[in-house]
This record gives sequence, structure tokens and C-alpha cells, in this order.
Amino acid sequence: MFENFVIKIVLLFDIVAVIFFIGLNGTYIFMNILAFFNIKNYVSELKAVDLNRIFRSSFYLPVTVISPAHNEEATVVSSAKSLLQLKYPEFEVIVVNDGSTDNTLAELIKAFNLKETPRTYAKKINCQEIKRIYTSPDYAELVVIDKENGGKADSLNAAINVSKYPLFCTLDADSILERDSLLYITRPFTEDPRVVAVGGIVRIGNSCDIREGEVYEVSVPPSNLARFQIIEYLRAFLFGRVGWSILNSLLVISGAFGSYKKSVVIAAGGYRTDTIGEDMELVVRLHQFMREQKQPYRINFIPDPVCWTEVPEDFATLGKQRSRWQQGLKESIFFHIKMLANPFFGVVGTFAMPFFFVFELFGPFVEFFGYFTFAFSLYFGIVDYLFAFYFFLASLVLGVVLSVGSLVLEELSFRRYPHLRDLIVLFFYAFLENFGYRQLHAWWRLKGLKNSFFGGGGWGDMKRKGL
Amino acid sequence: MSRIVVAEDDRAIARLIKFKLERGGYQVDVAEDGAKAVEEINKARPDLVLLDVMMPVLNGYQVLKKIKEDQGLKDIPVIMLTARGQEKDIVKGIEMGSLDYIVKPFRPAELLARVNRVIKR
Amino acid sequence: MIIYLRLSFIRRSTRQKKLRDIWEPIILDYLSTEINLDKTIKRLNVSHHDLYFFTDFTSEYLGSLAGSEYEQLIKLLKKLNLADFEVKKLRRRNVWIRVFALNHLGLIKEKRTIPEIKKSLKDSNPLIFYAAAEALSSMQDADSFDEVAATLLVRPYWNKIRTAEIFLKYGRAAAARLVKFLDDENITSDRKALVIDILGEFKATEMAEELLRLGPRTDDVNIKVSIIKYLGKITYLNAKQFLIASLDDEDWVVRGQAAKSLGFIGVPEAVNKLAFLLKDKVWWVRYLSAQSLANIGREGWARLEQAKHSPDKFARDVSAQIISEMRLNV
Repeated sequence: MFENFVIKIVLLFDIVAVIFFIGLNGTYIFMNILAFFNIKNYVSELKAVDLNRIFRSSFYLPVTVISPAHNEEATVVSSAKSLLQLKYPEFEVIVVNDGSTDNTLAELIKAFNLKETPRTYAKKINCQEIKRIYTSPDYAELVVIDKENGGKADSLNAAINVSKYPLFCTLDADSILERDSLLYITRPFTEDPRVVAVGGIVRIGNSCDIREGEVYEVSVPPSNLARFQIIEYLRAFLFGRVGWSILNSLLVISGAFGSYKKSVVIAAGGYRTDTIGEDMELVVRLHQFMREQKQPYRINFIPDPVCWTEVPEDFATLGKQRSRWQQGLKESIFFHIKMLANPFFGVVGTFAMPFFFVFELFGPFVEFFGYFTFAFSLYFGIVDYLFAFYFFLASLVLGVVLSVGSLVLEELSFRRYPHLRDLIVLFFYAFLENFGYRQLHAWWRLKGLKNSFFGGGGWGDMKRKGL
Repeated sequence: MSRIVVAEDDRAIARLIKFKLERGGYQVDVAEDGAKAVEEINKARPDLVLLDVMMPVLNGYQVLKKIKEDQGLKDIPVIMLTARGQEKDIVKGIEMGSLDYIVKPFRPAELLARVNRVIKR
Repeated sequence: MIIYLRLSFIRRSTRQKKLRDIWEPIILDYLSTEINLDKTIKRLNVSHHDLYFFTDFTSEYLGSLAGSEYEQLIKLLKKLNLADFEVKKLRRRNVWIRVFALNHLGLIKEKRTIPEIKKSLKDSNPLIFYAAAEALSSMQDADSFDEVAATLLVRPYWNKIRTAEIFLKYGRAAAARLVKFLDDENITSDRKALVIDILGEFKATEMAEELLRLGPRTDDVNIKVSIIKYLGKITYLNAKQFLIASLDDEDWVVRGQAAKSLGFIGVPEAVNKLAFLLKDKVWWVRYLSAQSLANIGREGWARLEQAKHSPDKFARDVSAQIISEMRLNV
């Protein structure tokens, strides 16, 4: 009797796991198809559109580039220098020294001959006290803000207050932009006045030859973990983000590279400082805000590979990073839980939010639970081996197909890996990923999920980074 | 024979300018980015520098600044070449010490004439 | 499949590189008139299959050359009958092939292709009709201007930058023809505002009186701001009164733009009000007013120096900022 009951429960879980699996992969495949046509179109469009036209035009939109820095004395000068090389008719670079305890500010002052300026600004969003603002007589585009420590979100808010221009572009301290990147990322704003935010692709720059903000050679790094992440990033960006943006329900714009219409962000209240995932939270809030204002809007994504970043190559840092992302995801969704399954918020409410809630947020939970119940069911003969084998095979094949799909797409569009050898290596890792890395990833996310609901985690010295 | 350093990152255009100037009787070195341009200028001590404004690594203005700050180089005449012909860009270049400013699309014959004028002065 | 894609890409790009290396010296010789047209064509030996790449190859030169070399190149393209090749592509179904063909036709600039391009102007796809409009504008075909302008200003889809660039390409002569669209009821106010901006870019003074009359009467902020900008751009002295009055407008964009235009024209009579606006509640208005004072000359500058000791914090801060910015620039 009792045994019967247990068997029924286990069977139920098995069925849930299978349904879950179908839902998840079905959506992914749907996204793939959407993204495929979109990117093909986009590549042709880029060929047809002369970016230099924006560059030569007098009707461009000026941009403020914001680079927050907290204890970055080793890299802050070179990263600011590379930002000053950007190709754009009118822009300013604001480096925010967020209460560093090292020589970040002193290095900047020395390198750029900074002078304190009485620059005024309107404090439209709350932020920690701005102590001083510096400008450089040698580099007219550079502004440095020295402020009390308040975290990344707070630094961004401070820079938004000080910024002059109608668009701003956010970066991580270690993002490296290609010279044309601003021309690419501002194009959607000029093409369509409804656009309020644009996300960009982030590529992995480990082992690539990047000097002074110029990408000289792209190659696949030797580290296994970095290779897995290349596959992961390609999949997440080329398929995931592109697909969601076609449905106008992109929920995440990476903090490493994104740009926004300043007036809208200010109206929506700027960045929230009480969450780890301030970049995602802002995007979700923009959806909510624009819908509630009943204004037509677009949140776009451009697939050009123009931003590069270093990813962790050791398990501990990567694990922490992924746990934190999961926590940020949870916070972003729960802050806006009222959008969930709410038709008032359109596709975002009825499709994107539920998808992220069920599959992205609780996915690792179901995945792990699925492994256990399946093992259990097999052991007790609740499901037969043949079915389990087929199921396993199907998941493997789908996993590989999705990863390889993103490689094919990359090959059709941007072709950033110049050596055929690199492609074969990546192909191999797309296959290998399913044995171990995927489970490990689920485990990290599960840990993040646990921490976000029950506290704990001990982030220590948070490395700021985000997808 | 007078020497000219051409800093221009668009390969086809760089070749075209080199060709034109060589037919005009000059010895020409091409540098495809700002840093290489500085290197080349230091090495070749040219009689004239033709600078594209938008180049990788160092842009034209920065190269110009480096030339003008260097005691040994500051007398080398510089002509800027650029796709952006807006008033303030031109003013900026002239103020920073370039002798002339040529906007793309340009006339190669005119470019040669301007180069001739500067060098034979 | 990936390997196949990659290999075919490599094959294509090596072939293109090879062709480029062959073509480049021939073109350079030809451009310096060292070899004649027929000989060039014989030496180039462009097969029909390579024509696709040849257009790409020449467009680099077409985009950055002017003068006699440019004419030389056009002569060559005419002889190769590239225009017909591109016109044929306009009948293809693939949108992108048509867009590229239109771009190329805009570079080749053969008058006889204009009727074909005009057909594309009627296409409902924005990619196509914008490309057609761009091609016509780079051919400077004055007869098609009205049609192009009507297409860009009336169709529901519009792209501000591209529209502006197309109008600017037509040159100063287009100003007079643009004016009549200002009375068209089918055109929305943001597009009319752009038309006025373009008139300002052209420094088309003949519209000054009319726009000055319209300025105080319009309720549309977009249009008002554009008129104020226009009057500044053409430094229209008769507009003084209207501009000074606009400093009191309830919309801050209007106030800011009026301050900017007054500085641009240099109106000493405005310094009192501008100094007052240093206390405005909107940062941009304060900033632009201070900048404008600095531009007006001695009287403005004196006011700015004075404001450094004002009891109002806003005025103090913004004047100090502008004074230091001005010093940096000098």
C-alpha cells in the first residue's frame, strides 16, 4: 500500500521532469529558430548600413560611457585610455571611483593630469555623496567622479546624475570594448525612437590578444572551464537574448555592456542598490514601468561581438559567480512578482516571466531532483531502462544540437574564431559539456537558489561581474 | 628625396595615397595605426606626415599631440585627413597645430598639390 | 556542416584576396591615366561571376575619392555595364540583394537608372525605399526630390537620422522645396521639426520671417524648439525679442534652446534674463544659460563672474563650472 503510494509519487516526479524537459527544450528550439532568421537578417543589414554615416552625421545621439571602478589600481588607467579611443562623434567617459581603498584615484590623477572641477549636476536619483569631480586638460572627454563607497548600482546612479548626454552605456571594470562598439549599440536608438534600452553581446577574451582596447587575435583559451563558458556564452547570447528581444521581452541586459535612454531610466528610478542583480532588475523594471505608463517601447539586443571580458578559470570563483547570478535572478523576479502570469504585461508577463520563473530560477532544482528520482525509479524498476536510456539520449542530443546550433550561427554571421582548429575544439566541448559541467553548473545555481531563500552564502569580497 | 609618413588604417586608401605620392616623387611609408605611426615618424624623421583622424590604438589627434610635444619632431608639418568634415573637428585639428585639413572623399590630385606646397615651402 | 561553411568561407575569401591583389595595381595605374580604358578592362578581365565582388571592391574607392580620379572610375564602371547588372538585381526577390544593388547604383550614378530606382521608392519595405531614397540623393537628382521627401515624411515608418542625411545630401537647393511640406497636414510635428532643423543646417534664411511668425503661435514644443534652433543657426537678429520671450517658456527644453540660440547670435540685451536663469530649477537650462553668457562677450562674462558670488547656490555652482570649462578650452 505505502509502497504503491511512493511509486506513484516517484512516477509523478518523473512525469514532471519529462514535461519540464520538453517545455525547456521546446522553448529553446523556438528561440533558436527565431534567432536564426533574425541574425541572418541582421548581418545583411550591417553590410548594407554604413556605420560611418552615423559617424559623419550631425544628427547622432551623444553618449555617456560609465565605467565604475572599485579598487582597480592595476587596470583603471589602461581601461580608461582604451575607452577614450572609442570611435564616436560625441561622447564622454565617466570613471567612477567608488570609495576605493587603494590607489585607484591617485593613478587616475597621475595618468591624466586630473584637475578638480566645479562641475554641477542635478541629483535626480539617490546616490552616495559625490566628493569631487575631476576633468583632464589633456582628454576633454574624460570625467572622473570620486564618491563614497556604495556598490556598483550606486556608482552607476551617481554617474547618471553627473552625465550630460541623453544615452548612457554601462560597463564592468574589466569589459573591453571594440572601437566601433558605440556606433553599433546606439544605432537602434536612432533607428527607432521607441527603443529605451539595448543590450550587447559579451564575448570571452581569455587568451585573446587584446591590447589597448583593440582585439588583435581571437583564439580558444587552453582552460577547460573557459572553453565551456565560450559555448555557454554563445548559446546564451546568440540564441537566448536574440530570441527574447524579438519577442520584445528581453529580461536581462548584461552589466558588462548595455546602453539606455537616460530620461527613461531616471523616470523609472535608476538602479536599485539593494540587489546583487541590479542589471537584470533594471531591465525588468523598465518593462513594468513602460507597460504601466502605457507607452510603446522596445528593448533591443544587438548580436555584434563588440565587448570582451575575462571569465574566471577556476572552480571557486566561477561557482561563486554563478550562485550570485542565480540570486540576482531570484531577486529580480520576486521584486516584480506581480508581473508573473499577468496578461497586462503582455508577452513579458505571460511568457518571459513564467519561463524565467519556472525554468531558469527553479530549473536547477528540478534538474537535480530529476537525477535523483530517475536513479531511484530505475533502481526500483518504476521506469524501464530502455525509456531511461532514450530519455538520456534525447537530452544529450538536444543539448549538443543547441550548442552546436549556436556555433553554426556564429559561423554564418560573425566568424570570430579564425582557425578551423578552434572550431573543432569548441565543437568537441559542446559535446563534453553535458557530462559534468552541466551538472556542476546546476549545482552552483542550486546553491545560489538556496542562499537567496535561506540566506547565507558568505560572498566575501564580491567580484563584480555579470552576464 | 623627401619622405612622407602616411598614417591611414583603410588599406585600399593607404595604397592609393602611397601610389599617388610616389608618382609625385616622394618616398612613402605607411603606418596602419596611431602607435605604429609614432614609431615610424620617430624612425624615419619624415618631411611631412599625413594623418588620418580615426585610427586604432592612438587616434590622429593624439598622434598630432605627441608630435607637437616632442622637441625633435614638432617642426614636422602635419596634414590631417578625415571622414568627419564638421567645423569643430577641423578647428580642433588646426588649433592643435596641423597645417591643413583634407576631408574624405578627397581628390588625390589636390592632395598631391597640397603636399607639394607644404614641402616646397 | 560547420566545417563546410568554414571551408567555403575560406575559399571565397582567398579568391577575393587574390582578385584584389590583381585588380589593385591595374586600377591604380588606370586612375593615374597610365593605361587607357580598353586596356584596363582587358587586363582586369572581370568575369561575370566576379562582378559581385568587383562592385564591392570599387565601392571602397568610390566612397573616398572625388575629382578626376572619381570620374575615371565611373567611366570604367560604365564601360563594364555595371549599372545594368545592378538594375537586374532590383527585380530579385531577396530584399538584401535589392538593397545592395540600390547602394551600388547610388555610387555608380547613371542617370538612365533613375526610373528603375524610383520604382523601388514605392516599395512598402522601409529597407528598400530608404535605400532607393539614398541612391537618388547621392545622384543629386533634383527632379526626384519631391517624391523622395514625400515618401520619407509621410510613410508611417521613419528614421530620423537617415532622413536628415538624405535631405542634406541634396544640398542647399533642396531647402526651398522642403518648405512646402511644412504646410502639409499629413505630416506629423516631429517630422516638421526635422524639416526646420534641416533648413537651419542649410542656413536657409529665406524662411526666417515666416518661421519667426509661426514661432510664438505654435503650441507644439517640437516645432517651437526647432524654430528657436533655426533662428540661432542663421543668426537672425530680428528674432531677438521672440528668443528673449522664450526664456520664460514653461517648457524647459524651449528655455534651454532659447538660451543657446541667444548665445549663438550674441545678444547683449538678453544678459539680465540669462543671469536670472542661472537659478532655474532644471540643470540643463542653468548650464546652457551660463554657456550662453560666456558666448555673448564682455557683458555676459561679467554677469558670469558676478554670479560666482550670488547667494543662490545653483547660480554660484554653474557659473564656476562654466568659467573653469572655458579656461580649460582656451
